[in-house]
Amino acid sequence: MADVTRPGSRRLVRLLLIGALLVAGLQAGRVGVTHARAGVGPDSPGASGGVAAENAPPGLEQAIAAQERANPRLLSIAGVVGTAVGLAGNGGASILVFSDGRVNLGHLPGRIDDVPVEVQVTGRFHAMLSPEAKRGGGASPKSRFGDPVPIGVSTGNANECSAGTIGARVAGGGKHYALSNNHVYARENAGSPGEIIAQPGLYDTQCSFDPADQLGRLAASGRITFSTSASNTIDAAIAEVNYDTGLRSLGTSTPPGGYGMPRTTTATPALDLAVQKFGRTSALTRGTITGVNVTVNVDYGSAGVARFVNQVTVTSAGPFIKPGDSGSLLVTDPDRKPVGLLFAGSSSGKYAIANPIGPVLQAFGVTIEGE
Amino acid sequence: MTADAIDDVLRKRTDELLALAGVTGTARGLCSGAPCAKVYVVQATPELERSIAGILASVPFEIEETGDIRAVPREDSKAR
Repeated sequence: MADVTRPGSRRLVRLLLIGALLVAGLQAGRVGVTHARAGVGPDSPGASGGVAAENAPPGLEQAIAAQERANPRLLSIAGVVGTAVGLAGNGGASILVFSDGRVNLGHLPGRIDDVPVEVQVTGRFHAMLSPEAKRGGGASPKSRFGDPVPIGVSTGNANECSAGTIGARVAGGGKHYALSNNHVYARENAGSPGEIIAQPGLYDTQCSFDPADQLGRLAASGRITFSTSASNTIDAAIAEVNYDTGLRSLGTSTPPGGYGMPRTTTATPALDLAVQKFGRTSALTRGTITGVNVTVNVDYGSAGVARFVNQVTVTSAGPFIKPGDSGSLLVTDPDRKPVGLLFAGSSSGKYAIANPIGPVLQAFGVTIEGE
Repeated sequence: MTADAIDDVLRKRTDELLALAGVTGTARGLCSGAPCAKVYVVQATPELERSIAGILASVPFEIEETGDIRAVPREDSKAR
């Protein structure tokens, strides 16, 4: 890299390179033009406060003009993945040529329009893909899925504009169900059996319900007692699915990029157990069980506060759950054995509370469908 | 101290702990690898710590600042 020993110069080079990388990133994987102007122009965020202007090296404008003129030729050279304007060893402006390592230096001029040229081996630039895109196929868990609908994606009661997560497909009595929270499917005790359950939840469809989005119908929910002297153990509900060939069916795996298919054999929550979940908002996250035999007062907003007992706490360095992840299945990492149903947490998302999966399944007389 | 002993103390003392303003929950966890009681609080204060220590004098415990514990909101048009 060019001279970065002076603080002002270091800041300028950083701005220039950030600008270049931003342009490369925004081009979604297209390597090529990286106009340094993106980092130093008067309209650019990097120029605010006059940082770049105050430290502008000699010949900057000339270098930018030369770079722009030379770009078509430079970027046609095999192995050149971008260009920018930076600082030469003497503190003046130079044209930087980014290489993937294959550039034949003999094909590059030492100066362009009297501006020195420096080559930096950066490798190829890649767009910083969104988590959705990284999961493959570009399908966000918030989107509508075709047949079969995966678990771990957006769902909700069609009578309200909301969205939570399909935790798992469960089975009992010869029927199949989608498992989620009471506060996702049963509107905090207000729902009635038969109410339509949608995928995605209406929050993800601008609050409009399309009959084609029906996934199932509310079958049962565990009642939540809103009291700080209560002993709730589950915030759970099930919706019957796969009963009508006219509706989409529910599958048993997460979308690509998730943990896949849960095991049918559950695990007992234990301290220090590594766990993971896949949810509608934060997709795949990992944490550790750090609390068992948890008693906690959970705030449900206008519905009130409900005490839960015998719960499980999961913690993680970053957010483990976010709004919309309600109803995610907690499974062991990497074995994928179900251990809990997530339903509450701290505002930071670093503390998550789950119902142990055993009482959830027992309440409805169902078992997890999976591997 | 065993896990069962911690659970026993929590069974007896949790109501008292949750009656303290700012305490949101209790749990059994691990402190330096050994079983201990955990007390979740919105915000730790010296006064609250003294009160908790008075209730859990017989067992090892840790206080964890979790903030409020809320039902993970559905994403919805009427935010909690």
